[in-house]
Amino acid sequence: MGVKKDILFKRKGFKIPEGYFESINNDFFKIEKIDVNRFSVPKNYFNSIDKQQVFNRIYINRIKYLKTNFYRAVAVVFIGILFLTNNLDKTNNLNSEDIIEYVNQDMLYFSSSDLSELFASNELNYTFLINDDDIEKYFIEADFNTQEYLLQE
Amino acid sequence: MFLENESNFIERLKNEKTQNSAFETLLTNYKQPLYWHIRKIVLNHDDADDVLQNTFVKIFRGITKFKGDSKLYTWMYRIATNESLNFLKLKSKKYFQSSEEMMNTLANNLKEDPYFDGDMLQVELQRIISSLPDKQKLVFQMKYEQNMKFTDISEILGTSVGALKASYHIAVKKIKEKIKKIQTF
Repeated sequence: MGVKKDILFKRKGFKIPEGYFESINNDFFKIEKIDVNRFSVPKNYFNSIDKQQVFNRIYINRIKYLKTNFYRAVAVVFIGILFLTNNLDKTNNLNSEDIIEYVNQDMLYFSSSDLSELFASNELNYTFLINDDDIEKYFIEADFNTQEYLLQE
Repeated sequence: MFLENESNFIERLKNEKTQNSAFETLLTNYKQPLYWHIRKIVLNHDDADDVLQNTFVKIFRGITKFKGDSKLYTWMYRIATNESLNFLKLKSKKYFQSSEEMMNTLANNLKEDPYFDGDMLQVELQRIISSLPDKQKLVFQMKYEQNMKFTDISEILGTSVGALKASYHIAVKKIKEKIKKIQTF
């Protein structure tokens, strides 16, 4: 407690010369001959300011506020729709048949050497790609002379 | 400042039936002092006009929330001051400038401003005032140029009278020194 009193005493101990703040007067620019107010306004400017002008601004601000909020709401709804549509599309399209079809189509672009590089020999199931029905169908539909083919071989 | 019975006047401003006429009275009495207060901060007439209108919009909208803890006029000056400072902040952001650079540009623009008829020394004076820290600048403008009481400035800026007097003293000293330097060249 004694310490606190000491601090207060010391703080009160600060003094300023008598009439110090009063000595800071407004005359120093007059000595320097500088006029601080050299600003002017357009003619009849103050007469042009009326309450209607302020009310108009309030009205314009309100419209701006509503417009901004409307655009924000539209943007949110749009983003929401976009998000939902994308997600729904994904769930509709990504089924196993599509994936198999995609892989099968892609496989057409692989040569046999590519495939052999991609898979180990025991991993390749040829029957998956070429089954007996396909071979039979191929020979039936293919238009060539089997005998000639065999002779050539 | 101008209004005889302030509490009655505030009631008139808050009452929907009397609001319009009371607001007109308020506008008539305060448009000039508030304009000059704003103009000294933002320097340019068009900017001051813009800020003044925003100030009155805020006053009109905020009067219902005004509790009367301070004088009506100091409350309005506080709005005007905050609006002006916010305006300058936004302007400096818009032009990717620091607030010091922005104030320097605004002071430089006074040379070509049709609504400023000062010579080079007066432009320099404005540059010096606008280069001061916000509080020093504001207290200088309010005390020296508008001759306001320190107690009122204290209410407007939310700073103690003692601190304001100190800021004013520093501001005056800085301005004086800089003006002397310019005049000796």
